[in-house]
Amino acid sequence: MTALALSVRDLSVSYDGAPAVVAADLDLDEGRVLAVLGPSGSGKSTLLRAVAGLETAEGSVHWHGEDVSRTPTHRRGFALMFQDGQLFPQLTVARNVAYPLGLRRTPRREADARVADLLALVGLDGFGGRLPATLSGGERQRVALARALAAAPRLLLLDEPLSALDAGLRQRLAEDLRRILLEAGTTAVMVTHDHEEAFAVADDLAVMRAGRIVQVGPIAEVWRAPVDPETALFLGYARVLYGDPAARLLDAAGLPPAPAVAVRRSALTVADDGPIAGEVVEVRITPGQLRLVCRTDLGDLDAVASLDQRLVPGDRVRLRVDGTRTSALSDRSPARSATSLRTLD
Amino acid sequence: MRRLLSLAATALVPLLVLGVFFVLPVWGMLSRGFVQDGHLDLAGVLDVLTRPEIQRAVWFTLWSSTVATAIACLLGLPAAYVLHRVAIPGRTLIRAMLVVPFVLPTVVVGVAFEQLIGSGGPLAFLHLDSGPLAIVAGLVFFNASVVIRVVGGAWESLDPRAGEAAAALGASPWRVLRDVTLPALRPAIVSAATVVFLFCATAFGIVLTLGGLRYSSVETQIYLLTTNLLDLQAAAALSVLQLVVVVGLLLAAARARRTPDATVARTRPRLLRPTRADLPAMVATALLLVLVVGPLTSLVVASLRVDGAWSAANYRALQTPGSHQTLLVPVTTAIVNSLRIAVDATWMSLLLGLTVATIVTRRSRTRAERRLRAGFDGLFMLPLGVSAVTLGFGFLITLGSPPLDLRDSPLLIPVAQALVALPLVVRVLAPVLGGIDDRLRQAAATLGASPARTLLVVDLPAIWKPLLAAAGFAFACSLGEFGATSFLVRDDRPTLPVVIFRLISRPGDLNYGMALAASVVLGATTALVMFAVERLRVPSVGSF
Repeated sequence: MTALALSVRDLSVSYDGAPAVVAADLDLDEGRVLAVLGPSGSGKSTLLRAVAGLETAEGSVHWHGEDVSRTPTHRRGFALMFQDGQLFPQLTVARNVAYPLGLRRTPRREADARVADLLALVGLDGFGGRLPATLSGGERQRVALARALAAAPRLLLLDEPLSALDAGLRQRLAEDLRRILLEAGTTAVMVTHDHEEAFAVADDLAVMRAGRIVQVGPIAEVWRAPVDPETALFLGYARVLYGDPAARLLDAAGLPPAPAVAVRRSALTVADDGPIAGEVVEVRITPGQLRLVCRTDLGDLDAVASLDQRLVPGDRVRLRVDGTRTSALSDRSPARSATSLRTLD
Repeated sequence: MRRLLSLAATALVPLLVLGVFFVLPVWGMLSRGFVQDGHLDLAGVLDVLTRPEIQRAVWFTLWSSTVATAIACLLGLPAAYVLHRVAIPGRTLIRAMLVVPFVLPTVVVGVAFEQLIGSGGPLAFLHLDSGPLAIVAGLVFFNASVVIRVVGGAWESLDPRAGEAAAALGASPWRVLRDVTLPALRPAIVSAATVVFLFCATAFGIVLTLGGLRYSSVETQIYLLTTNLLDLQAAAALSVLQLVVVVGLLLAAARARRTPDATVARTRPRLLRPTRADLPAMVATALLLVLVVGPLTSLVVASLRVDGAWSAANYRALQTPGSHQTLLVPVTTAIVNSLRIAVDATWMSLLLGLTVATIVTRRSRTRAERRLRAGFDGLFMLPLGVSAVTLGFGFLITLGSPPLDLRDSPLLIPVAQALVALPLVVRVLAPVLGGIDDRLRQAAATLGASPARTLLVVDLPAIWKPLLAAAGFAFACSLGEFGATSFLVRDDRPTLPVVIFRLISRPGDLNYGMALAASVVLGATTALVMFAVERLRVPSVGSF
């Protein structure tokens, strides 16, 4: 069991009386990475900024049992990496990275070595003399990451670190980020609206909606058992079935009945021996598979088929259900489940 | 709550200065006009506004300001286009030349125009002397530069792709201008026109020197009423009227500014090659150039002519106090005085301006705080609109006697000039400070930088050049300030503009020649400062 590092209790932030974050509770163990996932406007960035001390907030923030709620930002030792890097435009890459070292009066030679190490870590060897304006978006984010790590923060806060980048780069950088955070052994909180990014980088996941944290837990657990239909849809489940169709789908998968079930697109595959009969109403071709919408007596369902099956709308098919790609949901209201289903390890 | 308290603490010094050196004098002046024999006399004040000579002054002010604003825009807009979007040779030089008039001391311009069109001048045959057209020409001379500055800056950073999209849809260049470009520039144009009107309506030195006794504006009327006729009631009434109109205009300008301005986009499209279609715009620019260069050249030439021959006698005479005991000290002493005062006024306005700009650009967290900061912004723009004469005379009556006897303080004039320059300094610095992403400061803070260190790594690199430019701007304004200073100087310690005015109002060829030479010296000094400022390439200089 590792030590509890960050502990946020009953944290609330409001702008002009409009609540942005409502009574947020969070716990994070030393060395782990937590992703806060939520749609835009859900208050996740505000939560992060409040932890950094950049927002006036009610409630408390503790670090290893010490109350830092009243500590000014620059003494908290929580480095925040912004969505767009926020590099100092007049300083070179090396001097940007060296900035937090200079603040702590690190000797010149030691600082130079550290900067070189950090630039190597983020894959920017030899970029030290460049100015931020000459870098690409991805390079800038890497420099910002190196600069944040140079501060040797007790906690690294990442505010949508990759969302300003294009898709391919984002995926590559997400993997790099995971590697770098692991190598540095950094405790980190990352805010994102992209669940793939969260899965690529984090150990734990907190889902935020309308200013509230609706679910927290190890990432696989949250993914497997979303707390309510909305969370399930946000986490990438394709559809939620209720009542009788839910029970029949679970039965087809050989699972016990439940009031509702969230279904991934890949949970249903076209197979001749499948228990559910339906008619194809929509076909979309993707590089790896066919994506279908089928009309069944459970209602419309999403399904996949292999590319060589050459299905067209109107075809009659049978569907097989993979129970591991579904998630039974209790029919509780989101507000109640937020308090009762918070699962922390 | 804590934020509001710290805001109040930062605001304390500027507020105190504004209170003592602006609100108090202006209030003193106004109350003296409104209170007659110990009781408030509003009827008497309203009565003033029905007097024929007052109404004439009000109408003349409105007429001349409107006409001058229209002409300044008509010539300034094409010039802004030519000088900021078209690649013509000598662009930078012409731009700098057209910007200089803005800070040229009003007395210098007055003398230059008078010399050009007065009896014996090269354009005497036009019979413009002491006429309304001369005043309008003088106002245009000053204010076309404002239009070029404000609109040119916006035009330069205007994203050309919207226009290109319209052209691709089949719009002719004229339609592109009408449907895309001008609407995008509207905030800048409205803002420029408002400010130009404001400057025209409160112009003092130029109207006084060119209008003589026949044409007087509200501002010169206030001057005549206070100094010659000692009719404070009428002067106060006019001051209040002026203040109300000016505040209204400032609010309108602030509104126009609030519309997202193209200047913030900071794209730098490539300059266009000049084509035949640009010809009318070029002609307008050339016309403006003649209007600006003509009087100044004529001034320089005249200052070097004595009795029909080239001579530097007028300049040599600057070491004397003039003929017929016109002055108590030589003009050179006045030059030194002016420089000293300008240095003091510069650091004061910079200090105040930086504080005010910092306060008004910090991000507000609540609506109340935002309103407070906006109100603060407006408050410090007020000196722009209050008649410098009102301010100067107010100084005299409130700060000249106990408990605040500052009449002999060497800092009195610098303070007055600093207040006059303050709005300009704030307008240079505020956009720069406001343009710094607050998150950059926050990034520094999360890396462990204290607020002071944050200032050093984030704010200072962005602000040092604009600060230098603002310093030059304030220095030039202070050198040429005439309205308020004319009330406050003592005859044995005059400033250069005051000396020039005194020299032209006394008879004598030598005095007139000296006035020309002194005007050239003063004009050249401010022009040099402005050229230096221009070299810093700070986009917000001279924008409002």
